Amino acid sequence: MKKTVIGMMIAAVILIVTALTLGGPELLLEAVAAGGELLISVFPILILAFLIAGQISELISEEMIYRWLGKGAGWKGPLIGTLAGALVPGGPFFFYPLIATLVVSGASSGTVISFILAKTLWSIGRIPLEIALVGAELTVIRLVLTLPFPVLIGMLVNTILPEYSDKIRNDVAELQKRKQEGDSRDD
Amino acid sequence: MIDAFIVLLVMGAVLTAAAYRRKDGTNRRSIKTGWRMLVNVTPVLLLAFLIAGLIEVTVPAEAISYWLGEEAGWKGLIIGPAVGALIQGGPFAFFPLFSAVFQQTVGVGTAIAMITGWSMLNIGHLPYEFAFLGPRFVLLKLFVCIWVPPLTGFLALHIFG
Repeated sequence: MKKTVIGMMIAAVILIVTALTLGGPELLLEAVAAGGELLISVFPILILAFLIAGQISELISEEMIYRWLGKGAGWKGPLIGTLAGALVPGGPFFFYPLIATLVVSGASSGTVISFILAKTLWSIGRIPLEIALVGAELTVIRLVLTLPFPVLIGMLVNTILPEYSDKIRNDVAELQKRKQEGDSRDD
Repeated sequence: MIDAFIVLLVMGAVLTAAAYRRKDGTNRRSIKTGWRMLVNVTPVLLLAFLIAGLIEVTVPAEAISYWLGEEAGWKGLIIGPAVGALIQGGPFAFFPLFSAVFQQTVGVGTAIAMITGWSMLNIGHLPYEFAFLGPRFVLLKLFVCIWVPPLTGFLALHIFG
């Protein structure tokens, strides 16, 4: 989160300098007014979106996700992976380590692809914000049109490239080993 | 705006009912969690709206419309996801920016392609993918995913455009 804020501050400073060069303080004021106007217009709906995001994160727990994927998935892997991916809350710093754990404990590469696609496409905790800022219509269109992809692509990967599951499992194990060695060297 | 409000109210009502059935104070905790999330992202949100305003006044609307608007045609389905994939800062930065800068200009196809590209091909995820899953996985994912945003945009354009 801190890195995000710093990155955005740098972007904002570059843009402020650009605005000042292009049109002086008036243009900068115009920019602040435009941003402020948008913020005020979406503020009530934003509060609602966050209350719902809070409900979702309280109703869905990490243990639920582990329990589903721990069942040993077989051909249902991509289906369960999709469902779990859509429901699991948290950003990439949280879900990529989670996926690595799932890979090591036996999830196929198709299951993992399904999980990541569902997580990045549909992450349920993000939907209220998208509805609030982009609108319900576009959000629903996007959800409907992307509906087949996570399961379909996951199953395709498992069917066409079954040998990839073991290769990727070895890759992940290797990365974790190297990371541990790095950690112990730091001690 | 009204439709968004209604959809969110319905979602909230369903979730409140689900939480109420647990009878363990989930609803009270939800309000606290939601509020804490809002407070945590407030700096990002404020910056996002400032940046959105700045881009609105510094990047000429004609440029956006030329590359991504209706006149860009099918090119918008490729450029849209590429621009989306580059935008960093997570949903709290992307959605305000999209709403302020792109939504008025781009057609439904490019809009869908761009949001889809932002979410599933985001370059900000690459360091995590390399670090936790390795280059072989990154290539596999790129290979099976790269065509999805343009295709989704194409479908949106022809079904809902």
